[in-house]
Amino acid sequence: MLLVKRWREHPTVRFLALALAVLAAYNGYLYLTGPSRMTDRLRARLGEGPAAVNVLVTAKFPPEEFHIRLLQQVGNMRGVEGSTAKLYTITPASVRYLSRHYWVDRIDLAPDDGLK
Amino acid sequence: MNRARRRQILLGAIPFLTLGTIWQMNAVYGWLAPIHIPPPMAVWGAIFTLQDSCAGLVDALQQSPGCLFTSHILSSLGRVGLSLVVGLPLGVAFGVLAGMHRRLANALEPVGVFANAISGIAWVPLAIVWFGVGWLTTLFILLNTVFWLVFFNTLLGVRGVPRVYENGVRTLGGKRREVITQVYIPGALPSIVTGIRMSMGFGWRALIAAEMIGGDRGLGFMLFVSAQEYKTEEVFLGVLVIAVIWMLTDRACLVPLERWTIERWGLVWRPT
Amino acid sequence: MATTSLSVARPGIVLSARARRFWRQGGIELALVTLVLLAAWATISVTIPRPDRYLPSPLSVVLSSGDLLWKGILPNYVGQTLWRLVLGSLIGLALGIPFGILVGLNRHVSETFYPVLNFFQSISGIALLPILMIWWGTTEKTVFGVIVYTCFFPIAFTVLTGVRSTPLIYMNALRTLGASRLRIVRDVLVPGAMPSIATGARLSIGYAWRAAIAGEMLAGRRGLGWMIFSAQQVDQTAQVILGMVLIGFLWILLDRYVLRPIESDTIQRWGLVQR
Repeated sequence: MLLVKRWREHPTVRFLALALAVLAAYNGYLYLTGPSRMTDRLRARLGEGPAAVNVLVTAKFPPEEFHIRLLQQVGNMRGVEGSTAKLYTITPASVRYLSRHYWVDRIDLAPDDGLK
Repeated sequence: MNRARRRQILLGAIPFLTLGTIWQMNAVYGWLAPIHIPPPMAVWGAIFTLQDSCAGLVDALQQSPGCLFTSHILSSLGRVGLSLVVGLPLGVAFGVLAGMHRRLANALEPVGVFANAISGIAWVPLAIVWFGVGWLTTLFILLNTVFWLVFFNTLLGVRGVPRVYENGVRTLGGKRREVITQVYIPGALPSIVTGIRMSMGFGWRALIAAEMIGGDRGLGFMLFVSAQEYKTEEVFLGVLVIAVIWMLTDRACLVPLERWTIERWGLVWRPT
Repeated sequence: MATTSLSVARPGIVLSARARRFWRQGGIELALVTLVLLAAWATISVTIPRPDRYLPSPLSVVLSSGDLLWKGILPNYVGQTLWRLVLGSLIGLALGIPFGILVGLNRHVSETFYPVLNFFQSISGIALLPILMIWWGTTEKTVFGVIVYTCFFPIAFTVLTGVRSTPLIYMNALRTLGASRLRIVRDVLVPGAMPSIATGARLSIGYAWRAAIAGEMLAGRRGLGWMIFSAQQVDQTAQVILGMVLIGFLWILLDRYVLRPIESDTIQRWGLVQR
């Protein structure tokens, strides 16, 4: 279908390659910086392989409806103080998922994690 | 009617008859709940429910609140008509002007491409901000679609008219007015009619969408309100009316018009 | 070309090939008209009462986009809409193209399906949306259903017409050389249908894009369409304009760099009719 010679110069190929490259770079950056958004305490706790943890998610600004909705989809929201949201009973996989959002400033272990 | 045409009509009717039969059987045997697929008789009856307190033809034409069915249809069709009356001359005028002046075309084309890329429905929220919910919003959306499509097609048509004709008229002493009316408009007529057909196609869809979100009357509005009240038979009725109106308009009016224009005025044959 | 190009030869100024192309293809006019429109926009926005509601200035639109980007909302919405478009179109095309080819193979079958395909093509996906909302509520399934429906019928119809209009002479020629039915399908009908597949795909994806935006608006699923709809309801007109600009921009990118090149390439390679 495409003129096979010089396909590298075809506008569609270049455009899609560029789009894919941007997407890959963007996602790569998010994945790489994910762990840096988790505090050492949290990482240690996750290393123990718990079923669920309670965390405090601090965004770079007071979370809006969009962010609260997103948080509610992965755990129990128990209130917001300033820029920090208390999120209870979420799986470690979800914690890692949250850490990959660039608007998250820090995810910390909640003080009452592990308590009933 | 020769055999081939007769066979085409008979064969083409088979899927419709099959669907109709299944539809009626569903109403009798109740495979899917009436709220999902209403019985055909209920859809037909919805016409009369909507026309409940209608006093007669005069009442219907005045769009009184009793005659909902006709009033919605008239609203939608009226807006289409109005947009054609306003948008068509404007589009043709600008298209001819742009076709004659390269710079104007270069300036207007990107604006039109962008306005069209923001598909009709994406204009609705902004139109609501400016004009509020009502007929002005829906008319604006329609005009937007009609104007740009007619403009582009007229531009294309005017550009396709060989310069020879203009020069010929000029050598015979014709001034600009003659050049426009005798050369460019007739020469561009096939494209203009194609533009009308395209703008009606896209415009009709955009109108229904605009009425759903930002209208207070019309077929789209009727669909949306009936869906919110879970009156599926009215929704089905509306959908059928939309389809029938479009098929009638396209097949009975626009396609023959296009074909006649090309036969009478066409300088270049361009298959549809 | 009937009209002559307006490259004015200016002695003494030698422009590079790129600059000359820019000038000839109306780049100057594009830049000028953009500047004029932006200036008019800014001026009107400053002079009217309550600009935040009616016409926010270009600056506030840019600031709003920065704000939404910073908060991670914009990439999410754009991604959602694009994802729905891509997935829905792929399903619609994957269903519609084989259907069109299969139905087009036999003359009687194609005559049977032609009117009903035409009929469903005139019921736009948006008109179907209220029915789907009654059936499936405001779920992702509703929006996907609308997108797949909107994509299926135009491409099925176009491919059907394309296969039917392959000149008989090609098929007969292959038959005289002793080709089997399958061979004819593979060597004549499928390549003959390629131009209509490409054109139909472009048309279908265009419809699907509009349907995705409309579906988001009406069914309340998060995305670009939802963003402009809900922003209008809380008088955040800057977001509305931002959303509109993004929608237009994304479509222009998609059409110019993906859909149109593929279409013209396919017609160049496989087209039986000169364009």
